[in-house]
Amino acid sequence: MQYLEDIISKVLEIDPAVIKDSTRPADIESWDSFNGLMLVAELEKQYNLRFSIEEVISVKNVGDIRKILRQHGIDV
Amino acid sequence: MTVNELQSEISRIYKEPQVSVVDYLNLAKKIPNPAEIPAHFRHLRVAFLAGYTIQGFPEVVRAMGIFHNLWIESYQAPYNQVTQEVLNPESTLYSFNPDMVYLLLDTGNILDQMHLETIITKIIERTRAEVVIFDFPEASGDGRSGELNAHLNVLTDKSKGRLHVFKAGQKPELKPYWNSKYKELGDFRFSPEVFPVLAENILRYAVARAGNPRKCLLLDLDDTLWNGVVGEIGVLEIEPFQDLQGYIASLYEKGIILAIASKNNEEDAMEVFEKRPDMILKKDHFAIWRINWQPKPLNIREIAEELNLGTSSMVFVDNSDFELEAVRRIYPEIAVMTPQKLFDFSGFHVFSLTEEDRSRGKMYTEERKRKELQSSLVSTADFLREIDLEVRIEPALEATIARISQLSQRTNQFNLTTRRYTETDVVNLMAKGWKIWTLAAKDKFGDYGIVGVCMVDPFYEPAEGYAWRIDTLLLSCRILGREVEKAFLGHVLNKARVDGVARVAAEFIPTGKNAPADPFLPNAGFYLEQETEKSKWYSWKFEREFSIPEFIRVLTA
Repeated sequence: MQYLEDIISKVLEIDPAVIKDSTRPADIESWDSFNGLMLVAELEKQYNLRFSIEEVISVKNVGDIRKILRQHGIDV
Repeated sequence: MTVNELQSEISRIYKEPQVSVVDYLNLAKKIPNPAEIPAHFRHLRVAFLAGYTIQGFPEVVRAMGIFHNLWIESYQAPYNQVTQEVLNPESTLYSFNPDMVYLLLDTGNILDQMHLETIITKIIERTRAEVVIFDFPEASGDGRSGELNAHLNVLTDKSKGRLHVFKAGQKPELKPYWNSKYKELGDFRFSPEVFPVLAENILRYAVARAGNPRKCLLLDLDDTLWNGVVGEIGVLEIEPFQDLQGYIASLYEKGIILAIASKNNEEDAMEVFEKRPDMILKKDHFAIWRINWQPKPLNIREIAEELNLGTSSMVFVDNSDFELEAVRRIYPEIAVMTPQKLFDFSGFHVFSLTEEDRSRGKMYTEERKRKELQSSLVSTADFLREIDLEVRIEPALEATIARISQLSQRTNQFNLTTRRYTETDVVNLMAKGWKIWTLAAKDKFGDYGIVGVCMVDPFYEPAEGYAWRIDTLLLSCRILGREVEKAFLGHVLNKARVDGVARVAAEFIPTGKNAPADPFLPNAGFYLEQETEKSKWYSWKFEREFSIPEFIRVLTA
């Protein structure tokens, strides 16, 4: 299974080492609304699942993504 | 990254099942500027007009275009301003001068049939683009898709071939991706995860517009055309993949040249073709085969040389990732893919099939027989006398316009100027009074169809003792080596003399691919007037007779 950090790093084209659970869109220049949606698409593809609109909207930082993936049974 | 490296990389991810929209977006960022395009690429200006968000889609189309030997320059109209862009004659859309326009609209963007019609007719009037509109999916939800789609059919008929409807709404694999959560989140209609599939689907129109479809399909045998390894289980135990073979046979009917590049014992493989009547593909479908244990890239090089085709016009299908990798690494310009991918591959698309397309397969069989005769005779001159060559030179007709455009788009080797013309361009030049001729040829083995085009601008120097300019003179590689070009040029010079022309000017523009045409004009006795890095200008002033080879019978209309 791919690491969450690697997927985020691929979509936002940033060094995986800078990604922390507290990282928010405001901290990363490339994390705009479009790349946020690309991140949704990439996570769904790599982990083979579907997020609801509510889940997508509720994300405020990387930790929130990890929490939602765990709720889907993905061990990240 | 150079274009070749990028093409190789896109070719690698194209065959991966887990490839995502992000992979394509990341590669799109590496597309270099147009100064570095290799000679086998075509430059195409593509405009996207959308009534909803398609952010990222044009980039995916550009990246996928690289796979198809297309360097795409794209323009995306501002969000939801389709009507304004189209109605304003000064808009960026028109100054962009698109070759292709893709229209992506939802029923909510369109007031009524009149509105739809205005948008389409304005684009057709004001550009020379091929227009592709996505149909209105039923899932739009307001019940108007049926009525609007019916009107699209009417408009298609009126457009004289310029409007194409992409039936996204009828593709089952795309349906679940319309109006997903991405509509709420960003006003998308197609969710971004299908951008790669969608891009591949709509690039068929771009391939056709650019006039560089693939010409030749190279096929593996075991586990590609049939299930099983014939050398191990025997000819009776293999199972032909009939769906795939049927599809490949339909490509053959459209003029795609079929070849085999396979690692087998040749006798084993041939036995399958001879002893299994349930094989849809027969020996006669194939122009050539290399069935041996050599590396496949080597076999492919031999096939390209023997058929006189560039590798950039080839597609290679194999079930083995090892073989696909081996070919991709050496020939990034060859489209490589697994058998399943072939069904959706867009690279063979043309807008209109010509007579020559339909009978190309037969012509290649005839060519094989010519080669047998040639090798049995001592000299080329004997061969040429032996084959009873006859050419027919005719002014362009409505029925031959498609073929004229096709030859101008595809001919790379014997082409003095390599100017590419669409069907619309040809019609316009004829209306302007240009003199355009086609040359058809046949010999005792069969008919080549129309294999040559000459286009003359008769207004080059319209004063007294005036001059013609040969804008285009080209011959398909099928007919090279038979001195047909001399017969063709001789005919044109005769016409010029009868017309009272004092001088015929002709130009040679080197492209890297047309070296075979370089010595033609000086050898024919044309006088070199001027030479620059970009072109050589020649002229003929009727100071002597132009000799036409005696073994060619020339018929004129």
